[in-house]
Amino acid sequence: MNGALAGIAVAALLALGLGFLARRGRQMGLGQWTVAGRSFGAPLVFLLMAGEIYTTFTFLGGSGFAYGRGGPVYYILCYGTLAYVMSYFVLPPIWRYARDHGLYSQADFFAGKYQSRWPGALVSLVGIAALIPYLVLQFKGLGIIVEAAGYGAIGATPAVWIGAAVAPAYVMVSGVRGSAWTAVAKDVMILVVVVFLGIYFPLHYYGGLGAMFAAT
Amino acid sequence: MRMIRALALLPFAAMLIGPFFVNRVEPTILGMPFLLAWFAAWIVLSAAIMAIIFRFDPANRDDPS
Repeated sequence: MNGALAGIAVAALLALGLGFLARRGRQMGLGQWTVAGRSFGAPLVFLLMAGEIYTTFTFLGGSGFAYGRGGPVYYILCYGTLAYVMSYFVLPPIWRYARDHGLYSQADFFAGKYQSRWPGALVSLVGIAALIPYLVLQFKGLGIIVEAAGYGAIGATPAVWIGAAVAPAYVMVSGVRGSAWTAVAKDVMILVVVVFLGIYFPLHYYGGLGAMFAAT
Repeated sequence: MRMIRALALLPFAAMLIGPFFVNRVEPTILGMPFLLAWFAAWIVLSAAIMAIIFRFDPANRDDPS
């Protein structure tokens, strides 16, 4: 087992451990599992959302797109920023409505707003259908990363199976708390890696950011 | 003071309309092509603008959390 694989194993165990630790000492009802009793403060929500937004796309899709196509990749900078701006107007009213009516899910919200179960059921179905290609992409990316980082010691397929076992395990045990605390670990690691590579690669290979753009 | 929310239109103008006018490489800023520097600057400015809106928007007055 090489260093990169050991790192991946430690990260997976860390995620699992954080997931189990996160539920410690709490009676796990649906309210705790889905929204942690609405007790998350702004910093934890911020980290959780960052953990949800920055995925394997950040490492594989975004960087590959930037390397292959260049300028058009700037759209990522725009849609991310503008989505945050729009969410300021959309999300707090939804959050207040959900708190006042004791809702737990997106489907609850639509069922409650329209006073009918059907919009809620439709939203659930669309959500699940949309999750399938998303999960396939994420696991595909995970498999590629593990296979490349481990120099083939663990194939892409076993890596996907391990990921598909670990992620639901801690989500089932700890709900949104587990996701939030793994997101914290993931955010820290992603930030370190991105900042390090973003500064190190241009300096190492070109002598600076300006020189890198001039060379291409 | 609800009008303070209109400030949120600035990031949209800067990012969706701005590139028509600043789509160029020179001058580079901190080594970044000008368009990239423009977007990077507006990411930071958008956060600052949203902080100002959050501070003065009366909608955030009644909510303790």
